Amino acid sequence: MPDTNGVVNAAGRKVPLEIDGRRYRPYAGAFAEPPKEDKRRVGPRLGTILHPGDECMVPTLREAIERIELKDGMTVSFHHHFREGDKVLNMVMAEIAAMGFRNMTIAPSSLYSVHEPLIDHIKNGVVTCIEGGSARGKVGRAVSRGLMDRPMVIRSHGGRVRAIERGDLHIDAAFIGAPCADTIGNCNGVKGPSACGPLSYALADAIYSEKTVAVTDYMEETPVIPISISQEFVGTIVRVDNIGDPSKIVSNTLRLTRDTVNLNIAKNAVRVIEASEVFRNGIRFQTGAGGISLAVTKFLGERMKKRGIVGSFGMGGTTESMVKLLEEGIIHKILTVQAFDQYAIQSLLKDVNHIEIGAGFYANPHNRGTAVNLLDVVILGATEIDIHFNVNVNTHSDGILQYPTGGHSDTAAGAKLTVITTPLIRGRIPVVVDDVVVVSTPGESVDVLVTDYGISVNPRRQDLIEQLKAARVPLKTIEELRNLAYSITGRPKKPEFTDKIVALIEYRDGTLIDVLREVTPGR
Amino acid sequence: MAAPRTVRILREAKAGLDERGDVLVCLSPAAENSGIQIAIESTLKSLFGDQIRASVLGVIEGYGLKDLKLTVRDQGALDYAIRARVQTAIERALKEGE
Repeated sequence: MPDTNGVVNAAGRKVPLEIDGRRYRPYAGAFAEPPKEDKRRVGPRLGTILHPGDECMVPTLREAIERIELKDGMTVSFHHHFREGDKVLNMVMAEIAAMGFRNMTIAPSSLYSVHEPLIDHIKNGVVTCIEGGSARGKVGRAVSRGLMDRPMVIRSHGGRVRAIERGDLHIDAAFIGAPCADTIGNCNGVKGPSACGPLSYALADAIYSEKTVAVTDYMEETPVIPISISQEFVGTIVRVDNIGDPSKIVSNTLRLTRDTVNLNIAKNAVRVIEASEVFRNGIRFQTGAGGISLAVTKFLGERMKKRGIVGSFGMGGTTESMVKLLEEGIIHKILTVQAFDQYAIQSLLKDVNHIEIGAGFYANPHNRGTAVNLLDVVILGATEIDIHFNVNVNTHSDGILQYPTGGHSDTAAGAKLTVITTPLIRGRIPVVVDDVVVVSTPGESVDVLVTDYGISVNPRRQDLIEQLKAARVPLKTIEELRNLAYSITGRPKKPEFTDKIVALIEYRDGTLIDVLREVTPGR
Repeated sequence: MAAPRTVRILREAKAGLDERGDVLVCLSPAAENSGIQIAIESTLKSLFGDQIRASVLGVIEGYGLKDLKLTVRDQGALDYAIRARVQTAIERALKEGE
């Protein structure tokens, strides 16, 4: 008899089959749940007939909200390309609150510490549900401590687009922070004072939401070029003073870490890549902007140059160090879903071999072509990894919600070689543990763990173990690494939770891979 | 092994740093028969609070100390660092004069 309160899924986690009015299938394996054959993509209602001279511009945010006929209980979405510099979400939600709307669902592609005012909107009943991304900072803490009655839904980049296209996540109004826009709704993110790079996370929102509002602070002659989000999808445009704080949107320069621990981890990660069969002409890889990842990009480029290897494309999380590889001819192309520094934005503007891709192109498992499946290598991080190679990126070790999944589970599933790089311990916190607090990415899609105390290969990958042994890369079992971690830190007490579920961790295919519960009060 | 002698601390003492990865230990004398009073603040209290208390108590008992007040402000120090900081604070507190 199946337990009506839940079943144990393929990641070994007990998950409910029905919660908050949603019915879920348990996670059954990274590629075990194709979309139902008769299922179609959803779409928004058609607009009215457009006459020459019709205007999309409205003078104020309030008039924009009135024009789209927002109602209580609707779902509004946002993108997170402005990161900690975002002003759009707070601005729009303040107006929505001031206009007296209640019971709204917000669907941001991610949340940052800057979105702390949300806590009051939740307390005041303006917002009752959060779908998408994850919550950092005080919002994450508050959600973990049971702030909301309804659980938050955490999705990966690809999973979010999948949910939008399938109608699991129905967006009534997308508010798109647009660094550069024109009078009929074309937008890009590469020009203007609040330039953030691509508008990848907002693309599906623009196409599938019932109404789309571009919120901009910089306008150019119609049509703006390049066009990241097209006039076909944007019905309302409002110009405000300021949509972002440029100093917090992208870095001027991301410095390579000088931390010898991280540099050594990066070197060892590159050693693993070089010893594996994917290190050959045409290699395709993704790295990010973290300290270790930046160093991997640099060292990998150096090794490719030295060995005469030319890569097909780099993807990411694009940084100056990735762009340099393009400029030096070490890779042919760059696919960008996010730009982390000014150099990457400038490159997007001027280099035809550097393109912006939408989050669906990047990672949606249920479309007709997803870029993550082309990856040979991805370098990822972890807040925790357990002896089954399950990775937690969503919470701290104490169970408090802190980070989004991003493209973690998407790229891990797609890449031939998924490398987790992390120090074995952070402060006194062991990173390699018996059991992760929540599973963000299942162990079956993780191939190698590289730490400062050793390298461990997932036993599922005997082929890789042979390749690395042949190249004399010293290996440890993950149990050895865990024991080493606990011998240094001691075994931490497990976080304690109540029965209340505060977040649903959806796998990219829409199944439920794990749930997060409320941290016991007083802890 | 002989039972540890009973020792009293005579003065206040500190050891360690209020910094990430370290611990600040403050020790002060207490009235006779008031016992060992330990207050722990830690960024990792939910994960390591019990272990920190056990380590601190272990060092104190090793000196045979009976009455004292001790505060620990931990920012994720490893166990050996915590023990060493407590030991240093005790050694400083036991020194006469200066």
